[in-house]
Amino acid sequence: MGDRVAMIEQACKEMEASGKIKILRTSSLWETKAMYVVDQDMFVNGACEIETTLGPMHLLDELQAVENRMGRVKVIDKGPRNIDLDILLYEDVTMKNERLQLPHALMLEREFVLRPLCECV
Amino acid sequence: MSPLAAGQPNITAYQKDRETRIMSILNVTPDSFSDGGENFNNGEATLAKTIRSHISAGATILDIGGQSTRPGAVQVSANEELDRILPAVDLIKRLPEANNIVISIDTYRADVAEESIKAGAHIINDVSAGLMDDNMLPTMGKLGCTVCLMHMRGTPETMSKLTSYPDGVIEGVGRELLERVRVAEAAGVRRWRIILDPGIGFAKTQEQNLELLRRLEELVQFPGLQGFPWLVGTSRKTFIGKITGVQEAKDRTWGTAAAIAAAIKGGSDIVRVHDVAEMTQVAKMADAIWRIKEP
Repeated sequence: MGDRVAMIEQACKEMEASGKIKILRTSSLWETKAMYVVDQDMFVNGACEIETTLGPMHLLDELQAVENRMGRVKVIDKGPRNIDLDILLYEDVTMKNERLQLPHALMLEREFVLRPLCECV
Repeated sequence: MSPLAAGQPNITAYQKDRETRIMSILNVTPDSFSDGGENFNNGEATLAKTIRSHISAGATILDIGGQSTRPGAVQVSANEELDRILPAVDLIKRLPEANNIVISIDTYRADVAEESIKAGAHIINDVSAGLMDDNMLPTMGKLGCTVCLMHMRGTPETMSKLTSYPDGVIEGVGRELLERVRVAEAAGVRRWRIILDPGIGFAKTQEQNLELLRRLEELVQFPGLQGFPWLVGTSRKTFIGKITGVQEAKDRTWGTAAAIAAAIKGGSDIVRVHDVAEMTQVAKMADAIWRIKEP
């Protein structure tokens, strides 16, 4: 999947490029074995705290636009991809629709989400 | 995990069996405390020979310093500093043996940092963690390179008097480094681009230097600092000379060896050394003893 850290740094730049998102703090990056499809490279995970004028759904649109701009390739579900941007928490918002669940549905199930998140609090 | 340079293996501070990296000191100053300017104005061939010998002896990172930060050192202009650093960067870039070598620049000046990265260096190693130049942390954020933030107080002229740590040296260094990390993050430096250095020999007494080595594990686990890679520099420093009774800095190899072993046991990911061949052996041995997979 190429230089995984470079992908993450590019995503950070893309997120800030529109001026609607400002990254306040970032976590460290953690390397973890892929959980579901195990026959692939290690994943690199991190979290960041942002400031934004966008509401949750518009933020999701923006993140998906970044994924698309970066040419996200996903050959198989939960398989290798060059970038994957999720919203974990949005202030104290609790919501659920077909596109977005807040807090993130699998947040507590995944160490690779919890560990970076803990560094941002 | 922390990248050093594109194409170089990342540092994985959380991996128990990681290999300690050797950062070799390449002083291009006329007045360094320990090598007395042996690489200064001696011509490209001599410098190339030094660089090749460091690499073949085990260095994977070269730390180029154009200005001494030894206690009491006279500070030169930014232009003078760049005139010393840039030819060395250029030379390393042209050496085929140095293809896979990470180039680190030891400077506290933002403009020196920026010009050096533009010339092809990979890392900025700032002994003041941004305290000596207000533009340093924003420049680091903008450059997006990996940075080493070292704990110190004051300036090379004043630091030896600034050794009061009312809550203990681990607590004091941890708290002050955490503050530098926060300022760096706010200036746009990504957390995964930060390497920390306890600053042994900088604004510390002999007893404090020893305590930092003895209790390095506690600093590595300091609340808010977990997960960072650590760089430790003890090579040939004054406290080693005093304890071992060795006047000449270049003869402090054995004392340095013990200090390096302690640093590796304490969790240091990178050791910054003059005696590359000797300390590479020390690091290999220390790694074999302490850097093992969890049972």
